[in-house]
Amino acid sequence: MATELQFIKSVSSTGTSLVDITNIFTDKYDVYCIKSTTFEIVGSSSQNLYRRLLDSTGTVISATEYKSATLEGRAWDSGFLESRSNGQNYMATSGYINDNSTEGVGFVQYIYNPYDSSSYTFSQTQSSSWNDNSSRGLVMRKGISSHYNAERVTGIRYYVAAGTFTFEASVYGVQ
Amino acid sequence: MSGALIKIDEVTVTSSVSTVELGGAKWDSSYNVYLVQFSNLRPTSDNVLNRVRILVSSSADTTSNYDFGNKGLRSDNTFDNNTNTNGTYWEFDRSGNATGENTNATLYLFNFNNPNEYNFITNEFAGSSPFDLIYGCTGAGVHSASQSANGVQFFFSSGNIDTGSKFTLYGLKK
Repeated sequence: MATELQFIKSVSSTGTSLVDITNIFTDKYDVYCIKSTTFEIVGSSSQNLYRRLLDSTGTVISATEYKSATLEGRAWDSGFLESRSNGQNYMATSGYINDNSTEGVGFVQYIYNPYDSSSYTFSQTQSSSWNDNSSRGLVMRKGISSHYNAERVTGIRYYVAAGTFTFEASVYGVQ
Repeated sequence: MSGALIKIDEVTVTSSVSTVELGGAKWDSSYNVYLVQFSNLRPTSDNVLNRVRILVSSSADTTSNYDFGNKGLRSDNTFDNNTNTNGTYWEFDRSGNATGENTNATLYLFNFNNPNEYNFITNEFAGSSPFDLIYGCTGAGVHSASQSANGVQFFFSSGNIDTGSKFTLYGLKK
């Protein structure tokens, strides 16, 4: 019996400041799943893993067209942090680590309706990462995002604000 | 290639309807855990609440046994704590129907085939509210009656589910 979670593409990159995963969103699926178990920072401490979408020509969408809300739990802190924006130039972040090579991240993201030019693109993400720069160490993030411009989206960019990173991810279509 | 995520039922709304049911006569009881995905969910009326009930013998269960706890994530203000006990449905985000707006979610269903246990769900929503912001919730729900269920029903607090809304039910192979 055929699986309904269809593998589309994997990427693996070392020593870059950004990774573009191109031509992954098509008219074949409405819902996509992206998972990663590798995000290692090189040469810069305490970096977020940021995301932006790629438009129908593969060009990154860096305009202030994203809205997001993220709930963050830290293992050493009894409270939860809330971050939110009704207008920013990136989606909800997907991990927060420093430059210790034994650290990493695990995240699962769902992307909804990216190829539908009449719909906004929505995302939900959940990540588990380790950052022991100031305290020990687990950072959980649960985030939602939307790209508030109805246009066709074909890919996604992951990037850091400083330094370079090692990254692996796989993309699946939910049939 | 064999797979572990098996599609059981799928509904794409082609004419607005008051409710959408997944499962029922198509329910396959051979799984312990089920996954529901819906995308592009749009109401015909603006500013309405998403609601879900279970199906028992293919009919919506309207008894006062629905409890839920949700953290509401929103892009404009302090996050919400949404809880309720002994309701007649599980309730989630507010949906808007302006151009481009819709609601999307992933739900897991547990213990639907066990007559000796309660029915549980986990839910993850992301969508656009009618107030020009993104709104989502993460949480869980329980139907606190020991009975088997064979599906779920979706509806809004008022109005209909609009054309283009898509719902899919999967079983997770044991």
